[in-house]
Amino acid sequence: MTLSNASRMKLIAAEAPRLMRYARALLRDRQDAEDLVHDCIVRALANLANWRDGESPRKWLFTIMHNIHIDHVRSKSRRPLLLPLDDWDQPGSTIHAAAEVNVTGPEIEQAVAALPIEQRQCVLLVGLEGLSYAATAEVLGVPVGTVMSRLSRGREKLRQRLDPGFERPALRRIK
Amino acid sequence: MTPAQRLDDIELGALADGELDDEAAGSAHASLAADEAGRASVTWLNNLQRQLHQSYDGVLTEKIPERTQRLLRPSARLAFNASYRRFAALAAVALIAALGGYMVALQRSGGDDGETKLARLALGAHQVFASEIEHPVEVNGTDGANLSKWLSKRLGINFSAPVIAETGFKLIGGRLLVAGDKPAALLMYEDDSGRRVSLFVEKWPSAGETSMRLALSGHLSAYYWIDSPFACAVSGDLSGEELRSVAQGIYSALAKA
Repeated sequence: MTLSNASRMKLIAAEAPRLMRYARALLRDRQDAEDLVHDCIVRALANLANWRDGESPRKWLFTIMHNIHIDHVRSKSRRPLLLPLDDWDQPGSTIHAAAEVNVTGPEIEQAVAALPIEQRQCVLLVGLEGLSYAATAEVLGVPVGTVMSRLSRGREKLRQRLDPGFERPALRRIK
Repeated sequence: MTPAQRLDDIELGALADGELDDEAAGSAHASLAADEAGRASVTWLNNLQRQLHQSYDGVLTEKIPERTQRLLRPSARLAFNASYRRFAALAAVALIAALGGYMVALQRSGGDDGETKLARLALGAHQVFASEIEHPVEVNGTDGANLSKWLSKRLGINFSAPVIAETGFKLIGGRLLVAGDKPAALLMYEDDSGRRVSLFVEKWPSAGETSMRLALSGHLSAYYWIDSPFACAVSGDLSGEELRSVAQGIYSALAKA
């Protein structure tokens, strides 16, 4: 069955609040989040015909939003330099530098905002949006194992900050 | 219980997230019976999830901004770029083989000769325009012939916008740029998931050709080459392999035209 464009638009509209929730948790700034969701919906509508029937609109939209977010982060960064192959994918590249630091508000929100962006994405897509590890990996374009380790590191940081009684047993540190 | 039998953080997380199958979940629960710290971790993870919802669920009931809602009204007739351009069967095996593209990472210390300048300009243009959501292009790609005619005239070369549907990327359009003191063109392509790849083209003043080379800039990479009269660079945030196949598709299409 092929969905009409009108019903596809309805499905996208139904996802908009969730896109906004994730964008706000990810970016904190209301204006930035609204811009991101707006751009995501513009791009989704322009690509409506490419949405494969049966594909989850949620995963599709979150993927589009993630790609736009990366472009946004990058366009704010400095002009490109040509780098040797070794610098590929190293921490410190533009996307890593994008973690916002100026945070106020409830403790949990501050702690989430202080996470490196890659860990924040995983903590929020799994813990808030309820995406499976596999869906999260597809949205972010990384292997499932990467999602699991980012998630685990992000959650550990949150716990160190939010759970005063948490003392990490030494033997768990090894592994 | 020995440490080896304890669940590690990733396993505890998978248990709390419902990612384990029945059997794995069963044995995880069995290990937890003797692992107080592990039980505390699972409780904490469940707690974290509840706190995240408490903090952010309020957004769900907020009004979506009017400008965004307007996009989603049935009356909003957007120009759906539904029609793939005619599928061009590119039997270009020989050309691709001839290319053999070796990869050269440009050193930061390297000089800015004409070729590296080409890569730098292309990466810069991609960075600026790939993030333009509503106006990534000046001239829409649905009328490829018109776009090609316009760019040919401005660049002073006989140029036909490459169609690379077989790579999953479709042409969304193009724009004219300034490359130093000369005109250059930037064509933007997009795939189903909204990833964008751009082709930067300028007229190469002298006769000559080079092999395909790779330039990297953060998460972006560009394959670039000269095959006079064209100097081309294909930029995007794809894996090297994937970007190379797009670049080869474009190379073949240009060489055939």
